This record gives sequence, structure tokens and C-alpha cells, in this order.
Amino acid sequence: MRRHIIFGSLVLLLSCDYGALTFAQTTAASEVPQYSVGPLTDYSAAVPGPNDVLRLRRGQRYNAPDASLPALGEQSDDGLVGGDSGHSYLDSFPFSQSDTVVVGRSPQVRHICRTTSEISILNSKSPCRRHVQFHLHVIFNQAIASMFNVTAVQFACRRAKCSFVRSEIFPCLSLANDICYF
Amino acid sequence: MPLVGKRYLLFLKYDPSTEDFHIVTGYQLDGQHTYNLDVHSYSDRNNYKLIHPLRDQGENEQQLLDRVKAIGPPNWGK
Repeated sequence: MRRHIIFGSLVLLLSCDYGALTFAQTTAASEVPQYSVGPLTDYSAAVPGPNDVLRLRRGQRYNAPDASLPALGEQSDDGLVGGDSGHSYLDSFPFSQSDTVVVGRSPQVRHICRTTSEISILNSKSPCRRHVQFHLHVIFNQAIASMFNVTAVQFACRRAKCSFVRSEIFPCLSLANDICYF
Repeated sequence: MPLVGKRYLLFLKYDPSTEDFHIVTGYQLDGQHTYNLDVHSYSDRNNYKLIHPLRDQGENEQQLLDRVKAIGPPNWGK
């Protein structure tokens, strides 16, 4: 009888130890960083939501005018035009096609009235007639795009080499003390 | 296209449907040299590659800005 009690106690003790060990392993597994193959790109995040009309419209701007042209891919000719074939204007200074003319150094553009000493021209339709700081969102690779939080860019990619073909300037979200905030 | 850290004269067009501006055309201002960011001639477009040298305007920064100032619409931003 005594042997049975000792044996039973031993089994119970071992069971508890095993359970505790399993619990410890589970806990440790949840706390210890797991092996990672590196950062993963969330491609789904780049796909505009069906309700994000503004983003869809901005994206449509970059569609090729000729929809029958094949998309750029690995087999594309290196010498082909890179997607922005419509980006050409005969007018050297296309005031009639522009709302605003600015001079500035990226990533910031200083938007200055004609009354100031430095050249820059404002349209009367512009929301700002004073010195306004614009952030010029210029992109030439993914890293820069990320740095300036640009949300709409177009890249022409061939054989893993990408070049931007368009950039955007986003308007002020708010204006205070002549500074344009984004 | 524009690069970060360079100085530019840019013609911008506001698009109310997308609530942002896009660049109509622009010039890189580099002191004694100015460069058009666009390709203009048909031959240029035929030879257009993703990476290609910019076309030198043949005038310095001040000359280009003076010319723009002189041409600019008189009803703008007074």
C-alpha cells in the first residue's frame, strides 16, 4: 500500500512537472522573438480600397493613355519609353495649363508672391498669397518615397530597376502663420 | 524629374478631383545652368530613356527667372 502511495505521488509529481514545463515552454515561445526572414512587404496595403475614391482618382492619372500597350515587365525592351509618353509640352512656360508656379528646393518649396524680391508667381485662384511653405514631394526611389510619406507615385520598373516618372505635390491640410502644414 | 536637394522652377496644376497638384513642367536651377525636366522634340521622345541627361537651356538661373517673370500673366497674384 505504501509503495502504491509513493508511486502515485511520483506520477503526480512528474505530471505536474511536465505540465509546468509545457506551460513554461508556451510562455517562453510567446515572449522570445521568433526567427524572421526579414521585413515583409504588405502588398495588400498598397492596393487602394474600393471606397477610397480620392486615391483611385490619383492612381488613374498614371494610367497609360493607350490602354492597348503592354505593361512594363521583365521582358520589356530597355530602350522603350518609360510609361509617361504624354509628359511633353511644346510650351516652354505653360502658364495657361498651370495654376501655380513655384520656385524652391525640394523637399520644401517656397511659394512667394510677385511682390517679393524673389521670383515666383501665384495664381489668384491659389489659396495662398503670402509666403507659404510647400513640401515638394519628390520621389526617385522607394526609400525617398517612404521618407516623405508620399502616397501616390508611379514607377516604371524593368529588371528590378525602378525609376519614377511622376511626382506629386500635396496641398496644405491647414494653413497657419503662413506655413502650409501637411 | 525633380530630385531631393535640387532647386526648381515648377509649373503646377491643381486638380480638384484628386485634391492635389501635379507638375506640368519644370526647370532645374543650377546657378549658371538651367535644365528643362521635359523632353520636347519628337526625336527626343523617340530616344527617351528612363535615365537620360537633361537638356541645358543655355541660360543661367537669373536669366531664366527674369524671362519667366517677363512672360508671366499680368493678372496673376498681385
